[in-house]
Amino acid sequence: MKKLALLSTAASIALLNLALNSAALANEDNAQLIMEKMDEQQRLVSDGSLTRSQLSTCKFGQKDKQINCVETPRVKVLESVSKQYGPDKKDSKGVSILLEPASERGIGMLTYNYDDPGRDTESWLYLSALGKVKRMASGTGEDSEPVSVFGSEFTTEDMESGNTNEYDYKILQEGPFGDRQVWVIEAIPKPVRAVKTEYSKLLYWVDKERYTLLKAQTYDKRGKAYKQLTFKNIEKINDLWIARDVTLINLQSQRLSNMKTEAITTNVEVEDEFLTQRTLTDFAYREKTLESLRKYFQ
Amino acid sequence: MKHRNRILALGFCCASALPALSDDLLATDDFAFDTSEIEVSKPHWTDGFKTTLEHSHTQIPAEPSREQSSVRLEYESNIADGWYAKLDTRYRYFWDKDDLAEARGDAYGRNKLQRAWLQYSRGACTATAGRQTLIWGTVEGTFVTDIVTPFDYTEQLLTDYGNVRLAQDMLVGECFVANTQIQAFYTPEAETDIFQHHPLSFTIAPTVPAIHLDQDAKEEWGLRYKWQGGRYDISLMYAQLYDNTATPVINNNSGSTLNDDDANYLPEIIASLMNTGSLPPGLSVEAELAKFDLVGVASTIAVGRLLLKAEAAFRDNQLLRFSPERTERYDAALGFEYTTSDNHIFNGGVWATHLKNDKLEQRDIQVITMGWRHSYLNDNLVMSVLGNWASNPRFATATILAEYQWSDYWSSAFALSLADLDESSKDLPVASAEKAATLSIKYEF
Repeated sequence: MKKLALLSTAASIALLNLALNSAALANEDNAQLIMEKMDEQQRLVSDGSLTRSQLSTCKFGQKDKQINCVETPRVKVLESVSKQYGPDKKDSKGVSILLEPASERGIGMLTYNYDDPGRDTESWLYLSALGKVKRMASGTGEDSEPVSVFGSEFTTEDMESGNTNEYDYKILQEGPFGDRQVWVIEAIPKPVRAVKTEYSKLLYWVDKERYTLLKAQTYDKRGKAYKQLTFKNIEKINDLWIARDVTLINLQSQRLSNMKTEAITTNVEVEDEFLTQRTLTDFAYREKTLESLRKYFQ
Repeated sequence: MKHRNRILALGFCCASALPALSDDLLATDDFAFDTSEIEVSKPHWTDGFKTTLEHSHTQIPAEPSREQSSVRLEYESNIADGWYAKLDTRYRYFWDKDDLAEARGDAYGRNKLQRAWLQYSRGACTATAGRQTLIWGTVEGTFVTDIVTPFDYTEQLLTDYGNVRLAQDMLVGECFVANTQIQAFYTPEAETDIFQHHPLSFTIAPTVPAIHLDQDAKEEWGLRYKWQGGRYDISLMYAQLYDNTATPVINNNSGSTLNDDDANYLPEIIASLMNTGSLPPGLSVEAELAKFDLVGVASTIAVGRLLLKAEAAFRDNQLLRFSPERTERYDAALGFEYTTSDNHIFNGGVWATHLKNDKLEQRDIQVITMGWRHSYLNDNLVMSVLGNWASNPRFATATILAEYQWSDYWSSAFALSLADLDESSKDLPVASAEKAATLSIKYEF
């Protein structure tokens, strides 16, 4: 009897372990699926889109939990067109033109990104002061390190999509976050990502219904809180949920960047020729094409 | 895996701890930033205008300095479907201590219409007519094929690269088909006034008529075919051009008795002037603007973080100073640019010229350039170093440049230049000073 009881206890423990492992695997699978679905939605937003965005950066001061800019923000306004390519739409082509400040007006950048980590990113820069298109040496996805986007606190890593296979995900919590139901998902970089990230861990607050981010928190290589991102003014545009106001607070540099999407249109037909070097120098062609897309601005 | 199991075990064994953890992650008591405090810039009809005020001072020990102030007005806009216009004009004032003002005799102001063009795009092609710059070539700092729009040497050291050029009145047509670009330009009357703002002439002896370097160029035209792939591109170029400045040449009117084994007649002319006060019989010195053909090829290859650039060109009918000789000229340049993982940019280049005339003592010229560039302080400070070395005339220069963006409107730049020049290069109208410091302050809105 005692033996049976022991066996029963052992079986129970084994079953419990199995259940725990299964739950853990299910948790990981679910987290991976959630992140992939969110990433896919992000790619859909970028597939045939035109945005006019304002990127503002300032040093901030803090009183209790309220923070404010303590200097006049540096403001950049840019218009960007992007389109996804490839069988899984994981390759992308995009062109961005700076409209403000006056000192940088007219600078244009054309970039081709490939999902294949061994394939070089291709980029060309049009410097209005130079009056010439310059090819940039970008390196490959494998060896590229994060760099600041237009001098802001956002880095190229913060803007990336399509790299969900480079992290281990896990749902830490779920429940109400403000007036939305969320999953809180932890992302730990795999070795392939660890060598090129400045983060040791990321936490994502994912809206369960919309599959959009409401908040993200990153930690530096020493595990200290690094950047906090909040996503506001989330609107449904052409059946896609889009945050039109994203703020990144860098807790270490005490600087913040805010990106407001002033106007956006998605799922529009962008001709392939527009995403070529011609757009950087052929202003008449560029404006003619942009005018036809701006009609759909929301 | 250990971490995952530890979290799960914590959740299974210690259910009472859950609410606290849950509260930590789901609480909404983060740092709050009221984003409405940032004003959103809306499109405005004035967006096409840009004004730049700038003052620039170059201090050269024991020599005339350079001191210029400028106001620049730019306007560009889409004026109708497929039509785009750009205007860029800059008024510069040369203060009385400026070396160009001293050469002229007094302070003066001058307006430079840098760009005034109208562009029309239809289908795969675009035409641009009016005052504009056209930049060819790939290896920066060399002039192998980049000679269509010459440099304006009246500009200060820190002038924008695009603005430092002497714009031309031209018609440029371009067609884009798949990965190829075909470009053609036509200039009815080329601008060549690259050194001075007043008639430039010099006298070699009282008995010899003054030589006027102001020579009018006539029409120029050219074609460029460019093919661009993912990692590399290649351009083929042909153009009929005029030199960017006149060259004093010897005109052998009736056949002189001078030794014609040497292309440079200057020593014999000087000897004749010193002995007789006049040029050798049958010779005269005149300024001439060479008209020549250019055939060139240029390519850029991207290999990871490395960018390799190469170009080569042939020019016929090149004039030689104080010589009746003509020569063919071959140029080649190789350059690289390497961006490190933390965004330090290193670049370098070698430019070699060969003059195909056996009578010349110096038939080969080499120029080497090296540079470094990096941004600091959230991209507000850009530091760069540039070094040049040339074999003939022999000179070496080094420039350290710091550019700081104080705000969206204010910026300043400070450059320190050192040059090591031999005696012959000191006579060049564009020779660097041996030591110079330049400070520029700019306000753009």
